[in-house]
Amino acid sequence: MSKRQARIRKYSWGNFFIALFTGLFALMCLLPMVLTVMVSITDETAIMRYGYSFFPKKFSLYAYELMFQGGSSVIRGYLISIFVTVVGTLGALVITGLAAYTLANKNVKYRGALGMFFFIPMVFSAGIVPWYLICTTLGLRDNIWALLIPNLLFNTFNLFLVRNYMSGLPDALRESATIDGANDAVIALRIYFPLSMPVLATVGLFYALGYWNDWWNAIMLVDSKNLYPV
Amino acid sequence: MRKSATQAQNERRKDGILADIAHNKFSYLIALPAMIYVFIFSYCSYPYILIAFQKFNYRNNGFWSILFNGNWVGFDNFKFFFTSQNAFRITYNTLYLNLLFIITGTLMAVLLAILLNELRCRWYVKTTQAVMLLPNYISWVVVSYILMSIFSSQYGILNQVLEAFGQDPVNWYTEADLWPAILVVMRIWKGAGMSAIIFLASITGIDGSLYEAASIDGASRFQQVYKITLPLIMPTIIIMTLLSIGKIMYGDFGMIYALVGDNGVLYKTTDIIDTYIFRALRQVGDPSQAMAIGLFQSVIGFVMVFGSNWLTKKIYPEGALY
Repeated sequence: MSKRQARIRKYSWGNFFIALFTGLFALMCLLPMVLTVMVSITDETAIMRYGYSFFPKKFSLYAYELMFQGGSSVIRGYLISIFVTVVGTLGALVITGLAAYTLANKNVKYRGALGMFFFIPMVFSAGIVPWYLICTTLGLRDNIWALLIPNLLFNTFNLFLVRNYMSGLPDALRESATIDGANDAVIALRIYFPLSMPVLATVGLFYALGYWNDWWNAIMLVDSKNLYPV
Repeated sequence: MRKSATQAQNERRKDGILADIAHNKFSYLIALPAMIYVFIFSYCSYPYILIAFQKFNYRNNGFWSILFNGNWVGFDNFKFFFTSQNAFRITYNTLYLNLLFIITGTLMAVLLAILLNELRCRWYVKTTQAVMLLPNYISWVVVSYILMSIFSSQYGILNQVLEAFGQDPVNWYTEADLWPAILVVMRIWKGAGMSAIIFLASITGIDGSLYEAASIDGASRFQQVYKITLPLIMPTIIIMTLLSIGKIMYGDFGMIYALVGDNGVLYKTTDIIDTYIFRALRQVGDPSQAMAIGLFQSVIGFVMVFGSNWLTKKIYPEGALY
């Protein structure tokens, strides 16, 4: 690699244009965020008069004052979002991790069939209508559980991700632990889960992002405004 | 000790599922939550497919009454949908938009990945990468507000710029023809950074000595990209593309609904199957109709998944999903 590095001079016109292009794209990604921040600290009447702008003509923190006033719906939304994200992610991780352990456990004879059981809904789903009817039948409507349980608590793709990682761990671990007298629970909790921390962290991030950015459940199943997440 | 264990295992091999459950109680027990979840939310949903052939009755919508006392109407729901002009429009929009997303998204991501790989300035590459990932972490709802500050007809940035150049302001939220382009740009903006990283990962896996040999033979930088990098990341590109083609019948509801919402003027070019079903269910309130369209979508989607997987298997056997 060092030769290649030497070959390509660090400063050349080609590099300059490449840097320019990637830099512009990065800027494009960044600017809208800056705009949002700027607009949030601009006085409302100034927006009305001059339109949205990167440079606030009249500085005002009114939007933030409004947000932090007591009983504001924004604070409430944040609390709900945080609660749902934390509880949901933990629950999802536990469910996914435990099932993944069974699927990766080579002593379980029917793990292939079990995998198929999880796999079929992944390729053929009946769509949102039955899903909606089931949720309403289960009473997952207009309450916090409606934000927590449907759709997000378990994801088959993540399950297979964790399963593949756990299958990659050497079998000798399980065998030696069995010889030392450890039962399944000990093997799972003391050996497999600590060793699977990297993939569990990744999947946890997926779940957390899903919960934090979710509004599908809210729009489908929640009607009352005071339950809306951010 | 070891021998007896294998012997026990051999004996167990002959046993049925109950014996296996008895032996691995713990394993089956901990898989139970996930199994119940999938059973309720996926398998219990299959009988509901039948309501596509019924006239749905809100008072009589229990699980069993759907199975046994349904008001059967045959294919009327399908007929209603397919004879309306909506059927063609929303199917076309779904396929067209997704195809645009796949093509432009892949091109942009590969381009970015190759360019980033060519740069040698470490801190610059790291920063641009980090910044490109930012949009991926904000939700479409937030994006919709950003979009509004750019495109808003009275106060938006774009119209201010247009006016500064002496052009007439455009009323963006009523120009249906422009929206596929807007959606494509937003999609690239949000997703390209993330997919670029996937491609970048496969580029980093390429053996550096290939480039050395090429440069000794006098290959230019452009030739190296064209003859080495591109062919070697082709499998990744094809697999990613086929994966998205498998999902081509499923539009990105989150995106479309957040950005377009219930803006009827834009339906002509932006209404997709998912948003149509959503409206049929939540606003029009006809589950049977929605189910009929949903079934249509599921069946085509199913065929697409298997078709694309079959194709992957033909081209790159190691890339197939199953």
